[in-house]
Amino acid sequence: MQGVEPGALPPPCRAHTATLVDRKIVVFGGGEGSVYYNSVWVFDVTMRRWSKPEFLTKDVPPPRRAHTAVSYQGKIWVFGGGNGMQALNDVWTLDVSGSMDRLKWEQVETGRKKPSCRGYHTANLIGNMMLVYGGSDGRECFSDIWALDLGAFYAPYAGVPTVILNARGCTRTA
Amino acid sequence: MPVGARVRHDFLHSFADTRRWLLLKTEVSHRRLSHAVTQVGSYLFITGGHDGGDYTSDLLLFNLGQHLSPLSSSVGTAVSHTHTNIWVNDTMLTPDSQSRSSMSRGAHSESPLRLGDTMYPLWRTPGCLSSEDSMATMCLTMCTY
Repeated sequence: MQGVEPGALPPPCRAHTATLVDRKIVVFGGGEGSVYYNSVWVFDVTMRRWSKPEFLTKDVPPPRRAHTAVSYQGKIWVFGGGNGMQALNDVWTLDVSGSMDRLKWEQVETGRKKPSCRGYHTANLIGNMMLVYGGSDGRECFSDIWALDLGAFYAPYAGVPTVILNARGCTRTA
Repeated sequence: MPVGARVRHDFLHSFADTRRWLLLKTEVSHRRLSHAVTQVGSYLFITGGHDGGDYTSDLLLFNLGQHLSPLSSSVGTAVSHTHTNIWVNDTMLTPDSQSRSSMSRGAHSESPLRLGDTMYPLWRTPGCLSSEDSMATMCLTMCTY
């Protein structure tokens, strides 16, 4: 565990997410007043004990609250939220398929077309889709609905048309 | 790296391990923040929240079958379209006895709305529901709109 005394509790916070994975509740982010968290706490519902996992990677999502999280195929998918200065629209996954002691964050590239930055939205897992609805960036209240296909994987060199730029700057597809 | 090879590499890299967002277009829109969304069968039940001006107690229904069936085969299993392709009959939202009779009529019935069928449009705000309403009553009430 990450410097956490046995029996330690997460700090008071609001607007975090709590995602059930097997028999553990994974709590991410949230905040108290002007303090925003990017910590992960895990509550084992059978042992009734909190733990704070280590991260296998240095690349972790910035602190946030009012974000959303869904669980899909061994990963917790986190979208958006806000850090007190700005709203966010990034997507991160937390790999929870193995041991809960050491977890791995990974930022997911979702292309150019994406929902605007927002928090206080909702996200529901529908099949292999994460449906994001509404939310706010602190100025505007949104009504749009977005779907992110969590199952899609566009493997390189497999069915992707090859675009070759010729000397005149024109493209052709190979 | 030659120009052509670099463009090819960048193009392929842009597809590698990349998920895509899709904006779902709806005829009607409702601004919401700090709301709650629960999936029930092929619908999202959207409760409460704030529309940017006021808190709301609205209950909105969002038809998943209409939007996601073409996108994912794993979503539309509980959805059967009638001939109008606008209304959806979802047995998850039908009381047991009505569900059985509805299912016995077949998934692609050409009949119009019937009592006991659970058919919701894309968006619906059933403002007349009370806490005493059973799901069956709710179904019938909503069909009368």
